[in-house]
Amino acid sequence: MNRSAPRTLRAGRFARFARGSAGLLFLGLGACAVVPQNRRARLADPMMQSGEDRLDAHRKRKLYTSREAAAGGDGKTAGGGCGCE
Amino acid sequence: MARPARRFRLPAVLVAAAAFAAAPRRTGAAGTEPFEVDDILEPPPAVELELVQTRITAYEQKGYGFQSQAGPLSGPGSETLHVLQAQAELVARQGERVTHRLWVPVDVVTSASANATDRYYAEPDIVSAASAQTFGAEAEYEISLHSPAGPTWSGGVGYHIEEILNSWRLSLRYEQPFAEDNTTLAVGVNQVLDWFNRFDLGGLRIGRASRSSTNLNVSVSQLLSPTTIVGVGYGVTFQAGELGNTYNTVPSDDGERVLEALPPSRRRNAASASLTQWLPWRGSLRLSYRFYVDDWAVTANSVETELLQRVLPWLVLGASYRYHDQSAASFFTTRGSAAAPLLSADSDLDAFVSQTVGGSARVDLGAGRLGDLFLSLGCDHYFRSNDLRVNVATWASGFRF
Repeated sequence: MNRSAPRTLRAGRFARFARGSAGLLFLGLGACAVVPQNRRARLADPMMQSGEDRLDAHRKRKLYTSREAAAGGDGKTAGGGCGCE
Repeated sequence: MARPARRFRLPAVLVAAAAFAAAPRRTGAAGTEPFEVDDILEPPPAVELELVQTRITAYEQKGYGFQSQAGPLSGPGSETLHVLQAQAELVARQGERVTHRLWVPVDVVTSASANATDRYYAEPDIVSAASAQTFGAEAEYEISLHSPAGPTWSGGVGYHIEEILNSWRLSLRYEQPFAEDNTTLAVGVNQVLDWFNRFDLGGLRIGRASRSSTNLNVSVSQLLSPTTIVGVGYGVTFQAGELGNTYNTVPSDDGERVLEALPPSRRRNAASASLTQWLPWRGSLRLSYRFYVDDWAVTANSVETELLQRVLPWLVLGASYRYHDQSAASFFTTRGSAAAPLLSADSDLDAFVSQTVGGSARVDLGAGRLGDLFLSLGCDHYFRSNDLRVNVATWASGFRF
């Protein structure tokens, strides 16, 4: 009983997580508007290009991955550095 | 059925060979020199610099955590820490299809917690070490192959070294645009192998430990309108091996300290969504949300927003805010016993709320003799509910060619 309870809790959490992920993916894929090339001037502005500066992204990642157990795991490899990522 | 075909094939090959041998030998333009390779093949496209930039960041951390031995035996120890981080990046393009990227970050860390000394085999002082320094450096190379209106493949290798740690990194990424680049799908896989020293409670090296981290991630970005971009992403990471730094401790029931003990594996999941909106007054707003869960019972929600405003044609000011709420790992405790199979007092694994406020300024100085010069300044203040504060200052400069 003691062993199965955490597993059930974990399974429920993963199920909620999977549903949430699917919902987010649906939100992204469902909006299939086509923006012509000649109307993308504002989208090409550097202010709209988040994550373009990889050095800035790295220093932000460093701030969080070495201080928060929940940082990482989303496309940036965990591990390395001080071992606490 | 196969035999007649063979009969005809052999004479055909012989005829072709005879014709080749009998043909007059072609020579170069002067009539005497043989053809060079370049006369037949296109010369390889020249490598042209696209971006060169450097960034220096300073982190100042203050606070207390029960994992640190820099304090009373039963109480929290100091987590005071200073980091100076220098980064350099070089991006070069070879023709229309190939991009090279070289990135070198270097960290100098002064630490009040566990640390190494200058001599490799000397014992590190993990009890006080208030003025010790750790040096870490990394080099990463990435090559990207683009095909027109088709996919982009990127592969990268990296090596990280510290006095007590070596790390190797491999990455592969596939990016496919759809619907006239309105939608972009990206899939990436990363593998990291860490190899580092293991310490006992007194700071003696007692061998080596290793850790493997494998990460798979998928993301989609979508243009919603001429002023709106949305994106969603999901990543999963599997870790196995020694997942701690081996020198974190836990205050014990008997007034002493015991070493932290972590599970041998970890599965981490993170999903995120973001929206970037152009603002009519020459600005942009970015909102993002991230949900995280792992099998150590850590669950977290993070919300982040960034507002950028072009106040002059060459000056962009920015402001950012981040809110992060996380639960504790199931084995987190501030007082344990050596008999417990799993325990940690690491404040990073505790339940807490953290907030970050930041500001930035970017100056584009336009075309110079070498290229378009840009400068960037920024600062962040990070603070969280379990006694940790970090001030960050960063400065970058570079040329875009």
